[in-house]
Amino acid sequence: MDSRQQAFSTLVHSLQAELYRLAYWLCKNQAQAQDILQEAYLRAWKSMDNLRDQGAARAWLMTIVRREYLRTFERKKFDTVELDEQPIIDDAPGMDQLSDVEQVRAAIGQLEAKYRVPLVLQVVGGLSCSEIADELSLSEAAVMTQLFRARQKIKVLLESNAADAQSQSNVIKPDFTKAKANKA
Amino acid sequence: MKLSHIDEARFDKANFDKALGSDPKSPELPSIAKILVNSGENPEAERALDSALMLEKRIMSGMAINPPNLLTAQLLAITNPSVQIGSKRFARRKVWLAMAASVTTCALIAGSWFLTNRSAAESQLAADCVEHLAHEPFALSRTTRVPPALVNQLFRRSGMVIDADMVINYLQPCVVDGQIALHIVVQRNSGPVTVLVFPDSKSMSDLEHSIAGAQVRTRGFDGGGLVFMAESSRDFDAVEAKLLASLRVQRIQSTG
Repeated sequence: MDSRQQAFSTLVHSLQAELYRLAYWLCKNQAQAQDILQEAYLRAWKSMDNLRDQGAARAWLMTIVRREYLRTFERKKFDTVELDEQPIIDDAPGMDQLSDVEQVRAAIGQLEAKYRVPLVLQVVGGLSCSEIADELSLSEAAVMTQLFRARQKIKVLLESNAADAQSQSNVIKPDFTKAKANKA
Repeated sequence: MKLSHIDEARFDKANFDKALGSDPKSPELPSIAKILVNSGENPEAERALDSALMLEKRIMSGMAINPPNLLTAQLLAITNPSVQIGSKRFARRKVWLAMAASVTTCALIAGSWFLTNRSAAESQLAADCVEHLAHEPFALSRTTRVPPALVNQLFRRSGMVIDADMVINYLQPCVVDGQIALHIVVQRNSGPVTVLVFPDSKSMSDLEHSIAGAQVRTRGFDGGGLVFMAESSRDFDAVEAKLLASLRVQRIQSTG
């Protein structure tokens, strides 16, 4: 393995998990996240000679991931069916049956892109409000508002879920043993 | 977040709440919370900060997902010189092929397939189909019937018609190997059978394979292709017969 490959391997091992999380939460799709990462690292490989500084490489790759997401998936319009109009019976587990982490993931997944994207850039990407504002061509105040609302929405979703779980546990269930004893 | 644009002395409850929501990990917030509590401006400030930090911890835990096992190998395969040429799509395919050839774990997925000397396109498609199962794992546990009206609608949008009596437990249009496919799951006694229906697959041969523990059958049909996947191939014949009987060879104009 030559020094260029060695440097690339270091970049892959040190940053791929973080970059994958960023890509995944931007597009909410494992396959698309993998595609984005592949594109980002392909570009990194082509520019390896300019990427000796690990810190600069991280920022550079994160920017490529974000731009690739915007370029590839925001413009792409699939031929989709409005499933809301269909009477689908979903036998997937309800929110109350999910673990805390899964509930948080489900809540994040329910956020609209305008709230989710700044939150992901801040929490996973480590960007400041002004950096997010630059990236998304918004004012810093608008970014702060979107971040505030994103967290509020997650909080409300998690609280309503907790309240649902509580109300279900408060339901008085029929005690069949007692009923049988009384009958006897 | 740098809060220098806000005068700390005038940091009231509303500003504090907004800062908690926009960046609860900001290093200035603990000292501001203390000032607000001590001044009586917001006696709950420190408690609110603790609560916001707790929520932030949950959000960070929620976002901390692990990359797929093969991702590292897939990315390292980029350094293979043969990957560097051609279009982006071609490059991606080459990355997968390079990975399949060089990585032992991937060889488990594609090994037997490559041994049959089939074309790279077919190998790629089969590997992608098996890999696609991992993207929608919940599909295998669906047991309720997808409403026939929705089944009909999605097939029509793909330029096909299907009889209403075909019972399907999961149906989703997907993109696999760059092609539109309908991802179907049919529950059988031996377990779920997944079928990917490719309306316009040019090169689908009739083959049987075992890839990464999954039994795979490919069938060409009327300019398209079917890929059956299950843990056991026991029910392939029945599902194939039913599907081919229900899926009309007569193509219709897509209704969009």
